[in-house]
Amino acid sequence: MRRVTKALLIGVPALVLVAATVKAVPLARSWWDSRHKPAESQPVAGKSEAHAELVPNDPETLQVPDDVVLALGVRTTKVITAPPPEPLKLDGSLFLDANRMVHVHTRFAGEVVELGELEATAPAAGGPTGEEWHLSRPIRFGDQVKKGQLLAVVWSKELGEKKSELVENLSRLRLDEEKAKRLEELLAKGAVPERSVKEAERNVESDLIAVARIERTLRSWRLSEDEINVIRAEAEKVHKHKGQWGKELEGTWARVEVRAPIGATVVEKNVAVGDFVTTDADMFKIADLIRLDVLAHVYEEDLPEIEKLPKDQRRWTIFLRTDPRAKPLEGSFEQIGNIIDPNQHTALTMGWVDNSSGRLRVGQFVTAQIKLPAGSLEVAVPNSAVIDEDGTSLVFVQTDPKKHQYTRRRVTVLHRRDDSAHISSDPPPEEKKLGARGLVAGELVVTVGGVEMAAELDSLRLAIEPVPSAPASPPVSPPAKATSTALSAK
Amino acid sequence: MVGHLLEWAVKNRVIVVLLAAALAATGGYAFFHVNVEAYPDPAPAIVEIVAQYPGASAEEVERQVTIPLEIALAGIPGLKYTRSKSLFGLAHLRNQFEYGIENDRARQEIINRLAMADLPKGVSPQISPASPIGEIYRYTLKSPKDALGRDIYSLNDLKAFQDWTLQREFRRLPGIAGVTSSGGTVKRYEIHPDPDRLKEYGITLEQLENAISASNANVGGDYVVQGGNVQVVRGIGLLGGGEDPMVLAQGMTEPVKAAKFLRMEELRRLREIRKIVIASTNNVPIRVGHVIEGGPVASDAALGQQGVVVGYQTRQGKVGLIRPLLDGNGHDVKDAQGKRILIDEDDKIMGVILLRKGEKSLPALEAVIAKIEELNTTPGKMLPGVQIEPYYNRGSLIDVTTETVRENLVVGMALVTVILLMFLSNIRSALIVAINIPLAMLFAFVVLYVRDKSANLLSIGAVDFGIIVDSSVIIVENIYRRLSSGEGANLPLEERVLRASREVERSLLFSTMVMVCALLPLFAMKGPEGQIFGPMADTYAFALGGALLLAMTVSPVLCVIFFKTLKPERENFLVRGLKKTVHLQYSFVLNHRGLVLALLGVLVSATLAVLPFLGREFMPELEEGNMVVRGQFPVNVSLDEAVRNARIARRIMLSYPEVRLGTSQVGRPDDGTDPTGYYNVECNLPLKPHDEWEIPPGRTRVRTKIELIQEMNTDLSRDIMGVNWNFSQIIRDNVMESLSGVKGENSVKIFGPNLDVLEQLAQSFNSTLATVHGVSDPGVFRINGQTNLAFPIDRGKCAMWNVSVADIEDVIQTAVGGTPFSQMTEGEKRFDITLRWPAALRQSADYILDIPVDVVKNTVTSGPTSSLGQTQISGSSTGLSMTGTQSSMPSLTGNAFNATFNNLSRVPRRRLRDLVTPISKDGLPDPDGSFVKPGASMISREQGKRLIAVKFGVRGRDLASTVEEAQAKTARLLPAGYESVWSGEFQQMQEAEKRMVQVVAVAMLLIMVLLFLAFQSMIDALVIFTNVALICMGGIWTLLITGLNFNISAGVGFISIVGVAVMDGLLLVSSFNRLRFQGVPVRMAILQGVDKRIRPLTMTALTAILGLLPAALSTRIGSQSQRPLAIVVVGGMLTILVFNMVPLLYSFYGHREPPGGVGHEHD
Repeated sequence: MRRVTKALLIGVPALVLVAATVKAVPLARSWWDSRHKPAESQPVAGKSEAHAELVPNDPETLQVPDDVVLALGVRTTKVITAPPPEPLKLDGSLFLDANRMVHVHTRFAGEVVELGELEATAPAAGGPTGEEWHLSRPIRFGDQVKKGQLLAVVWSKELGEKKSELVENLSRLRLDEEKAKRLEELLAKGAVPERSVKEAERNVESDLIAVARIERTLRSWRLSEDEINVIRAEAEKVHKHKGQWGKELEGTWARVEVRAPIGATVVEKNVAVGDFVTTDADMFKIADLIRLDVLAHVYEEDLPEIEKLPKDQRRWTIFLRTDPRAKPLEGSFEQIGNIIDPNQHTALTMGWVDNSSGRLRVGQFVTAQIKLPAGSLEVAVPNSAVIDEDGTSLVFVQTDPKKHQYTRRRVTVLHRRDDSAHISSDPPPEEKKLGARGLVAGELVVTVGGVEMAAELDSLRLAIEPVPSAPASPPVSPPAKATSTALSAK
Repeated sequence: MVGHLLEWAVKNRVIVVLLAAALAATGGYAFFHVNVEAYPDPAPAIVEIVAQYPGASAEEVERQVTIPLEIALAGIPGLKYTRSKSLFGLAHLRNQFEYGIENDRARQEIINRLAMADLPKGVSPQISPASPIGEIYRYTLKSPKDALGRDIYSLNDLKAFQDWTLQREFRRLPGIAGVTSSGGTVKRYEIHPDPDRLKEYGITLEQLENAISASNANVGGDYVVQGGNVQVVRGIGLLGGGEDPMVLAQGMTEPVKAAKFLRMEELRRLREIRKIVIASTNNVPIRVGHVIEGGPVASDAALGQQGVVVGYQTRQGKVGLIRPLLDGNGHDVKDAQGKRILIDEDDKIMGVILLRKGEKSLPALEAVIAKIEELNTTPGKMLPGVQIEPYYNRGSLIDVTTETVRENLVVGMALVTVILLMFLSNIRSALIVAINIPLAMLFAFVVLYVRDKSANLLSIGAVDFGIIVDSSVIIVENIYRRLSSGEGANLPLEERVLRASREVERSLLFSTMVMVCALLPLFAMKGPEGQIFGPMADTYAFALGGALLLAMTVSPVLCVIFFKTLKPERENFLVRGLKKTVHLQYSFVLNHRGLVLALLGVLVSATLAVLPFLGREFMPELEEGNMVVRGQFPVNVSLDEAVRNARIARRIMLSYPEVRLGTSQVGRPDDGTDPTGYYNVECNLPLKPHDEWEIPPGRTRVRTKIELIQEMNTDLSRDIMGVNWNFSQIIRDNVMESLSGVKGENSVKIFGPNLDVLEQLAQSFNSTLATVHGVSDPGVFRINGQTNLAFPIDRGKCAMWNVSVADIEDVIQTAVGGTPFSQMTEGEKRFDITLRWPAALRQSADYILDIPVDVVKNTVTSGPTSSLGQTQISGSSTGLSMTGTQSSMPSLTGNAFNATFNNLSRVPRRRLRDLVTPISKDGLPDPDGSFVKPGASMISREQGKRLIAVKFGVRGRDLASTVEEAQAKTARLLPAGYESVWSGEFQQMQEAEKRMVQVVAVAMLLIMVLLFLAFQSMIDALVIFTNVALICMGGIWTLLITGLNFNISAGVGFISIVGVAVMDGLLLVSSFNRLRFQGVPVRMAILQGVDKRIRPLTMTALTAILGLLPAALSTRIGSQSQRPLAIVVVGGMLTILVFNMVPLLYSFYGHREPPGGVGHEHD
């Protein structure tokens, strides 16, 4: 009994002591904490404690407190109908209109004896200011000429000889006609045999044929009837003056005048007085520069795009590369070349531009921009609204302008321009399967603060939906994204 | 030997006194000249390699730079870990060597191996100057402002000045490893060629590059002799003449004029570049100005706006600074609402001055401060008006911690002296003991100084003066007791002192040996704890050795000198009361041995019961007086967005008046020393001294730092949502990252080959960790998440045009990224000259796809082959046309006489979009696919294996149990082929504990051997050892009560008092044995022995307690790392003071025949 009592006397206080000690630890600790550890932080007056949170039953929508929206500087903007996509830019240059350029040739080879002249004005040397004097000067490269204006005179041996041949044949014709007439008279008198008359008539016919042949040749050389008549007159004169040629015609007998076939600008002048020219030489090239052709190279790959354009929409805007600040020129392209350049696989697109001002130059480099129609199922948002994350594109949509609730939406970006992204309002089925949805014009999307919202939404979702464990073997395709922050989740 | 020393000292008192004076003098000198560090460097040799590969993605960097470097470095002797990070444009390898490998040797080994790495052209690996505790000084550059408040100098100017002038100035200072520069813009001259203009003139990019490169050099033409003189011939072809305008600007006085001069000089160079001739046709030169964006400029007014511009390299980061407006007295200026008026700047240049590893920070800091003073005040040293504004100085922390230690030292010494006075009631004896404290410490300082070692907070502050003067206390107390009791009054004083000293001589010797054995674990510590506590062990050992030497020499001598007139006197009432109490206590104990034993059993049981509640951690956190706040944004965040948020964050942070100012660094420094991207925002917040903290409105007291962190974290997380905010301090942050390779205190690293699986596993770990109690702020350092605009080159399309992959990649690199091909020499400075497409042509994927690619290698015949080669036999021949006709193609224009003048046919041109095709998920070309693909943001590797890290903090629970639970919960998440390693503080703790247990076991064994040698009795040794168990229990309970965790600091506390506990037991048992040897009955021997020894025992215990009591109670900066140690010492010694079980245990076996040993030495 004594042993039991003694054991109890020792054991009970011992247990009490142990219990008290264990109990005392937290009490002592709290005392120490009050001395060395901080109290729980107290809310500061005026500061809201609300944090961003997920909207119940909508794990893709974030409810953001008003003051956080203010502090973070969240901004939204309206989705707009997509403007046309970036125009197609074609490299090209200006050309002469092939129908408005003439290569001026001489009809006869010969020596250039004279060049056409233009009236010009020049400031009088040493005279009072503004005083000018007029002079004539030969046509030069760049001059504007009128239709029919004399460009050059060629002295053609061939023409002279042909003319003389005509004179000679006219003279022979005349003699043969007179001879035939006399023989007819003599035949009537029976002085000559009929055979002689017949021979004389045949000679006349031969002369007529020769004259006609030469005249036709001259006509085919585009000599006028007047000019031929002058030759006839000369033949008469020679006959009257017993073989004496008129001196007055010697200065013009071999003269060939080269005149401007159209009113245009001399773009090339390849002759000078004294040059010998042949008929195939381009003495002058004159071109009408009022309208210039535009030839632009379009890559094979882009041909379908422009071929789709209806005729009335085949318009382009021409920019001069050398003068980017100049007002662009509007025009249209009419033709798409049938031949592909084997070097760079481009086709030529052809059109024209008005150059009545004369400031455009042939060969000038241009960029032709062809506007493409906007996609009917496209909308545009600022680039800052799109969050690229793990290869997917997201936007945050404010479903109700009165509430700061933002829904994350996967979208399909079609193009990106310098400041905007074009988004499909009806994503393709394979994108839809991955969760993509369209955007509609007029919806509000977040342009500032979206990156942070995405990260916050991920962390909040992670807190309620733990990520399943990794597969036993590595997957072939990347796993679904769980969160986006560099140091994800809080 | 000890006896001879005592005898010599007493007989040569003058010499001893003179030697003591000399010690005081040299010690004083050493004290004022020894280097002091705030914190010991816990890291082994770590050599960081930085290799920048501009424009390359993380995957490319890993493949082409990181892996070749890892291969080259593998197998270096002593290399423990190679941890690497590959991210956009940067490879960063951290090579951690074994402890004990010299830093210089490690660097040399690395340098030798770097030459073996096969790296892409232009990638030049550098060794980073950074080290874990190397950041000693931070500053920003202040630019003068114009009337509108804008900086007069451009960021290019300031950055160039920082990189080329200031960095060099600081690098020349002793001990400085380098300067890391962040923020600002690195100037480069950019040429923006217009692809259309290039086409028009038929100029290729290569021609353009060659023309500029060839127009940018100086040459020497030897010299010519002109009569008696020589003239050196030079060809000056460098752009701008190679002159440095900034040097001239530094000589000016007006900032506006200097800035204008710099701008004019830049324009001059731009003009010169524009004038460079690329080619000439018909004597008409084609100049650079003709082929660049915008073409030739009509006037200088348009110069520099486009075409050839002064730009800057891709920005790696941006630094912002927010600070309050201060009045003339340095006080905050407040607005009408009482809020501070803040000045916030978004774009600053920041410099971080780095100390070379192992160098002394104080002399380096002095040199830095002197240099800054010189730069700021000497005309011509800086750009006019520019000033260096420091905002972090390690010296402040050193000052504060030194002050804390000094305060603890002084208060501790005063308390010890008071104890001595209380128990001895004799000023002289108290002073004799007290004088040993500074002398012992000075002795330690002399040894430190002679060994060229640095003192630090722990090495000085954690030394318990109570313990180091124990030997003096015992010897002086014994002498005093003997003399005051009148024993041997007939003998000469010297003899009486000698006898009294000899009485405790052997006990002292043994107890000192025991103490040295007890401290063995400190000396044997390896790893970070060895680095941290090694200096403390040194100091402790030197101080103890010095104290023992002084106790054996100076104390007896001073006793002889000062106790000449000592008269026998009674013990004071305190001692008498103490003795009476102790007598009653032990009478009771001896009368109720069972009950007391039971109580002891209860205590042991209770201790074992609560032991699981004792948390474990590696090291307590040292308060540094600053905060490093790191925000981790989504990896795909842009620089501008991160900067915008950083601005908001700065405002929030400075809304707390405790914060002195704030800097934010978005991204990384330009030298790549901190491997991170725009997603990382690191804010440095120097705090005001704690005594200047104001009571926030509506509160009754100032915030604590933890409250400050909590509230700031709440505000930041709330207002800048989606961002993970972490709080640390400069040194701690760097140290933890260096040791674990991960930013964050703790992390689990998951190793495996597949990046996607790693990413998913990390998310699983992350969500699991979030469910573990105590885990805070878990987060994954993501690998993926970076969106890439990837252009897979279509080999089929390339084949059609004979375009190589390199051709296309060159175009992408040049057009989008910009390729430096020459350098602008401006004196010592060199700036890249870069070709890059105009911004308008590379601003989105669609524009980039339109970038033209010149097809230069493709050949197109003009038509069918007209002739075959002539031979002697056949002569020339005509081949057959493959097309079936010899006719050539018609004119493209439809008119053979109206051909274009341009040369489009000469250099065919395609677009990038015609040569690339998106790839589908199955790796096949997918023309309808997207070029936007997910990619890697940062790939981490360790020992050649890919890994992903999940970081976490531990709050409100101890580290060990938290991690154990987390390990259990995540154990089944890993599939085959994947493994996890828990690293960081936890890993350090585990390794340290393992090492400590081993070494402590050896030390205890040695102590047992010593005790057995001393007593020649195992039971005596075991009984004495119960004191060790008691102090352990006391330490554990104190830790529990104060809510502290067991950590290395606490472990060192236990080690510190083991020696004292053993010494106390040793003194008692030897006293009992001696009395028993004299035939005194056991009970009487115990009571008499206790009576005789209680005063020195109480004094040693109290001095040990009071010596560290200030440190235990201190809350000042620097006290955190000492507190666990001090708490353990105080708790352990209190326990042994109250619950000394040696007498009780002795009573059970004391009736035996006393063994030979310590107890026999005296009468």
